[in-house]
Amino acid sequence: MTNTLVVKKFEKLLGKDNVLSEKEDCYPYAFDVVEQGLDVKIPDIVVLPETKEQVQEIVKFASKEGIPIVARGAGTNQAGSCIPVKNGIVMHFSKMNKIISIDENNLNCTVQPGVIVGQIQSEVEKRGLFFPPDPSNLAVSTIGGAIAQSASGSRHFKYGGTRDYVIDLEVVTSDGEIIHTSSKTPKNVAGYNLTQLFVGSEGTLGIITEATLKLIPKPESRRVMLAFFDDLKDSAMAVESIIRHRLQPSVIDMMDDKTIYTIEEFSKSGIFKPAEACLIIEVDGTQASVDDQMTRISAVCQEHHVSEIKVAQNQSETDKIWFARRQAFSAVTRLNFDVVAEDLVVPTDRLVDMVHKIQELSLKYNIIIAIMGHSGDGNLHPHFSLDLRDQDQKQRFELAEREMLDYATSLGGTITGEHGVGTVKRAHMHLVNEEPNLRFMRMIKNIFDPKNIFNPDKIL
Amino acid sequence: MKKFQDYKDEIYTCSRCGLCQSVCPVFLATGKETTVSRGFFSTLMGVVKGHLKFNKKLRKNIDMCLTCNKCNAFCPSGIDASKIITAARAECMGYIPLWKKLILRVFYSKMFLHLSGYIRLYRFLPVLDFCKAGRILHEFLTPFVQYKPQKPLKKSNLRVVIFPGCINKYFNSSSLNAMKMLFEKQGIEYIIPDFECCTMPAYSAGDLEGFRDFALKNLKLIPSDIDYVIFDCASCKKAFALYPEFLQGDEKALAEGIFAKCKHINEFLVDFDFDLPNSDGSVAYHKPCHLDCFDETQELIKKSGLDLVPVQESCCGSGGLFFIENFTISNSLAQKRAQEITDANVDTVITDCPLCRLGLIKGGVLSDCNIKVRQLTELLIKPFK
Ligand SMILES: Cc1cc2nc3c(=O)[nH]c(=O)nc-3n(C[C@H](O)[C@H](O)[C@H](O)COP(=O)(O)OP(=O)(O)OC[C@H]3O[C@@H](n4cnc5c(N)ncnc54)[C@H](O)[C@@H]3O)c2cc1C
Repeated sequence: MTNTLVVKKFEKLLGKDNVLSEKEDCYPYAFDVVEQGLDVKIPDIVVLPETKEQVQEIVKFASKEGIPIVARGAGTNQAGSCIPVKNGIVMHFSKMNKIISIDENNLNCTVQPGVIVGQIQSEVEKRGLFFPPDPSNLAVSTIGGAIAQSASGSRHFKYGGTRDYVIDLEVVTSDGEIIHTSSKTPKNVAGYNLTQLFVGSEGTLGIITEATLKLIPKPESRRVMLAFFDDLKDSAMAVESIIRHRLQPSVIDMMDDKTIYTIEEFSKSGIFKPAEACLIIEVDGTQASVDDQMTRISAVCQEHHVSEIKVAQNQSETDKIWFARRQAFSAVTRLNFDVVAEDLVVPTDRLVDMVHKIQELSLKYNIIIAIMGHSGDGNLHPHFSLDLRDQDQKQRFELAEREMLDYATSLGGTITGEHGVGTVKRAHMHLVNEEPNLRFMRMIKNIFDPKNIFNPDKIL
Repeated sequence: MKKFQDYKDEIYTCSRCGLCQSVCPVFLATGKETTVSRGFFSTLMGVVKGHLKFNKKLRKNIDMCLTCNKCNAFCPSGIDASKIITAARAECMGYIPLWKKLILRVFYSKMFLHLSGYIRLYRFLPVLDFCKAGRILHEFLTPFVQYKPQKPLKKSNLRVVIFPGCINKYFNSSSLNAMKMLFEKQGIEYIIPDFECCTMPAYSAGDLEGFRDFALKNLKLIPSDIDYVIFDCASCKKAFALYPEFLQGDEKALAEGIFAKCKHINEFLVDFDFDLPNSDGSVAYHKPCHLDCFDETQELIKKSGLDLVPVQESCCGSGGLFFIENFTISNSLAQKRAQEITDANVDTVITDCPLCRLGLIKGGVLSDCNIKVRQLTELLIKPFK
């Protein structure tokens, strides 16, 4: 079929407004967060479905014609997972953005894939419930994207990530069938765990059209504190120590001097003062336990030469801290044009070694690396700050990155903890997966998507 | 004056984090990547890289920005979206539709603006009275405050120029009447030169040459010995803030000197601590995107005794020529806004921009919400009897 005929067909199915086919309209859909240089792959058509039936019809058609489909939520993943490397169709879920139900008796909610994570959180919190997964960009990230990318966030340390809150998915498979991966009950072990197969599948196995999520009661109280240090390694040691003391804050995030500088530069919060390192620690629970934990955590920080502790005094300060912290990625562009966020994970008791290695690489390759991350989980996001248009810088970055990933793996860690593989970590998959692993993964992909239409050339 | 090419690096700085999706009124209405700053930057980067060319379609796409700059207010990379988009529009003026060319070139002349004043004759088209468009026009064009000369309550040495703006001049002078009367009460001498349009709509459309020509004409009409230039429209004042960027040498110095004397009426009234009689009633404030004195405005409302009910910040859907070009989206934004204000349960919504006023009235009429829309000056003069 020619492109014009396909467009006509889709327009009939979705309405004219929900089909984009002119180059000027499709071009912005070539991108997610990852910089692509001059070689840009533009989708042929962008569709904005409003119902699952429309999704089914499009998939059936694409399957028959062998046209690739790339699902897209907010397009904010950092792995190049939304790049339509083989052109074809981009399916944008911004119009399937309804919360279908919040079941307060059974502690779950059912949502369409385009609902914003932050919106789920605020809606359930109004009812005294809590949806903990908190990717830093929860103000825009869609739940479909968060599930498909298996996103998590700062609160993973205590509560786990998106994967731990998905109990059932409705998925359109490659032949256009609709399946439910489980039941809406909190437990179900009748068979293989199909749900978790789709979580983190980056749109390569099927299209999620509905998700049922687990909710928990909202903690009675929450408090945030900032602990400033004169040495980044001291802060890493404090993290290990907090864990050894069997304390359980909901968040222990780490930031280095460059991160602190850049977020204060854009947010003007007046809260982050210049320091070599800062830990953001959030504690939640009953009022009494929050007070108790805060005191004990402060004491641990003292043991590791904390230079200052600041406790957020009210909601407005708490909001300011989180707003600044959550935009840390893009704030790095205050230092240079491009920013590339790594996402490595190491055993928490090797955090100090990893931090040390990153600082070493920064010197060795003469490249700015701003360090931040969910240190409680050993999940570090070294942010390379550079200009990728400069070939020399690009090369130095690639060398430093490779060395960094090798080192993390040698410590028993991994190359990505929450951002996913997409296109950017594909070449490094073998660092953490032996051949039999990769073979099984390829077989799984082949079972669900024999024609390779769903987000081709990602992960594997 | 920076050109599109001068913004290459700034455009490239966009990290595509996509946070602008959370605030962009147009994106919230359309759900399309083509209508949010990140998408505009991808597009403009495409032009820089040579993948796309400025053409009619591209121009139409970048016209989908309200240049409200909500995204700039927190952009972690600090990118000024509206400046870049305006520069890009300037680059493709050749691709704008004819109606827009006409508005920009012809209607800015005073003669045509005078003629457009005859729009008031719509009253003689009886059908219009009953349809929604008629109700919107009627509401928009009916003056709430009639001018009556006032006896000064005190003496003042201040001499000010009032920049009335086109709406006051040609369509509905209610707010101007209120300003004049407020000044007379305070014994302040004012003059109103025969100004041209501030040309903010031309600026937003990318007609930067037109903007500069009109800037000079306006600046030269302001006597050097006056104390202040007073505005009741946030966008007209914004235009004066931009004038210096488009001029050089003495003319630039003139523009800077004058802008140092520019004040929005709300700011002026707060700074000078005027005595205002108490008003009552509950109001919401709709913040125009170009307003640069939100704090002062809130202070003034509270000082006047009005009960200020907080409403979330959002868009009225008007923005330059956006409301003509993207009629449907504009209407849906306006209706949503009207609903938010109705939900706040207030008697009146105040704003300081005639286009916002139009948007709010339109939203109210289209969604059958009964909201009264006023400029603050109109409410301030009311309790003086
Ligand atoms: C500033 C910033 C901060 C971030 N912070 C974090 C963080 O703290 N933790 C974290 O884990 N991640 C983080 N990320 C990465 C990103 O937020 C997550 O990957 C995010 O949840 C992706 O959501 P999205 O809606 O943008 O998905 P997209 O980027 O649009 O899509 C992601 C993947 O999901 C697939 N997909 C989307 N919708 C569907 C669907 N309906 N069915 C099937 N597949 C689908 C896409 O094909 C793609 O492969 C951050 C990103 C940015 C820019």
